Amino acid sequence: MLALAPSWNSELFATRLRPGVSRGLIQFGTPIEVSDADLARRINGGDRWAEEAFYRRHVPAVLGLAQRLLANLADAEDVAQDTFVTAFQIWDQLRDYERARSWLMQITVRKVHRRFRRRQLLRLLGLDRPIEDAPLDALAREDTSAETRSELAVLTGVLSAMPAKLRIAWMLRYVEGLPLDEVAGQCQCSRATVKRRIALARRRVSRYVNIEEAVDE
Amino acid sequence: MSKLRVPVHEQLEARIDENAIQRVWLGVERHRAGRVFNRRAGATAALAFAALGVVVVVAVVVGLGFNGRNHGRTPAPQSLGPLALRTGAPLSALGGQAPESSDLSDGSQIALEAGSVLEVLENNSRTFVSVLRRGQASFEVQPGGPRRWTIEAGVASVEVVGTGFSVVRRGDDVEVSVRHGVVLVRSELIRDRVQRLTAGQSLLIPAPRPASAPEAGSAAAPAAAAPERAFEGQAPAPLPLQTLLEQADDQRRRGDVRGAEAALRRALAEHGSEPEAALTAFTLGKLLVDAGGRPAEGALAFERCLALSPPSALAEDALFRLADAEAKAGNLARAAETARTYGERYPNGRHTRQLQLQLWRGAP
Repeated sequence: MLALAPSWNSELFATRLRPGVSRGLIQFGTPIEVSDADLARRINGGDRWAEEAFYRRHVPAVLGLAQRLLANLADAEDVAQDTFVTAFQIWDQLRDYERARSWLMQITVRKVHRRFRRRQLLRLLGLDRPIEDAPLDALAREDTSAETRSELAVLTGVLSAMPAKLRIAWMLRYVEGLPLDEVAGQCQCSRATVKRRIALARRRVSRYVNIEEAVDE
Repeated sequence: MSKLRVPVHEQLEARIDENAIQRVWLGVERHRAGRVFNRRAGATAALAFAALGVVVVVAVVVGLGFNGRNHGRTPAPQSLGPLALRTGAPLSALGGQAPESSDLSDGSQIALEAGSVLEVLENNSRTFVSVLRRGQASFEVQPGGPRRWTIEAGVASVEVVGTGFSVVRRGDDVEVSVRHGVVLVRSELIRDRVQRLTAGQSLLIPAPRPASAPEAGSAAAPAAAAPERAFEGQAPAPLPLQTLLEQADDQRRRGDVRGAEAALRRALAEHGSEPEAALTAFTLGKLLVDAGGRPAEGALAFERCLALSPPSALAEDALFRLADAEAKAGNLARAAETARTYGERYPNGRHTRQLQLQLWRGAP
């Protein structure tokens, strides 16, 4: 016998709206928890449902990270697509199933790097038309003060003029709030290198924007 | 000057909606099915190489051909005058034997499947009218653009402002599917002659068939009854259902999703009243969702299967797959409705638990 709610009442399929999302999302009274590790294991066994479930669970984080790093919505979607295509292609290389999310984010950062390199090449050829339709100030929450918004706008300007390596390292540290070791892991470089990159970037940022210092350095 | 709080992302909100999530997933699925649209990557690379070529030629001909330190960017997207290809070439007709994807000067994109033909009828700063002569075209129209887009496709025309959608012509039948945004479909063959389609919805407009099928043996009737068909060419002679199903199986095994789809659609068109029609519609639905990455169209096929009074085991599967396809197409409210129907009809059904999980995963 299946472990199932006794009847398929309307509560079971109640829809609710999340702020900023126009479509009703379906939620069960008691969601069934499947861990990332379980999903990862099932994906390795060729379970398509698990792939979709994993995608559903993590695509907001991937898209969000790509939007903040790239400041462009279409580029962020491209990166998210490439990230999941690559992840599913090389799934057998994932050794620690518990760290599937962090591994996915590492792939995302790699794809963002690649996107920046492409932009650089196009700029070199005079073909770049940078459209920053998702600068940090445009991504600010509704209750953000005008002052903070203007700081975010300045920050976007400073970051967009910075080499990608510095920009990404600094953003992972200060925008995403990752610890140094994790930033190093995502950037696939040593802790010392990532500290140097962040310090260089911070010097530039602090000329224009007043930002809190991170505590654990 | 106030201090920005760290981590900054706590003051931010990513711009993510269900449409974006669906779009990315469809891209992943297409990629894995081997039908890579490649979005802008291919076009960008091609442009980059083309530009590199131009730079080299100019440098050779003019010597140091750059006029001082040229920091000039490519011209801003063209907003006045007719729509052109992004390369600047005029836009008159698109399509050919191979799939084709074209970037336009206003940032819009048109992708044509192999064998499709799209002709431009009117093209100026305010209007872009084209006709899909045959095949399948997928459009990404830049929102907020200055032009009103109209796609004519036989019995229907589609009006757009800024959206992503596909138009398919199969003979005289027309099918419109919307990925995101809104389109208006106008046709004499639909109720009130106009219908509004939103993300995840699709509409199939079958062309009018001759009122009564000619009796067996009367060979002269068809040409007189359907002059339009004569224009398109001779309609193929009907094939036995079994042959079409085997053909579809064979094509599916070879990875030819389009070919398998065509064979199954033909089987339904020619043998829609036979007992195997429900299974055929079910197979088509599975193909469209699993291999084709087109859940909205798959849902239509499952609905058709259910309308054909399938045997009970197949009906249960079809209802489950319908809910699944509706959820994948982003139509979560309908998926919930279908799932509730499933629960009522099959309280101890084989897919109950999976359906429960399936719907659960739609939650944030």
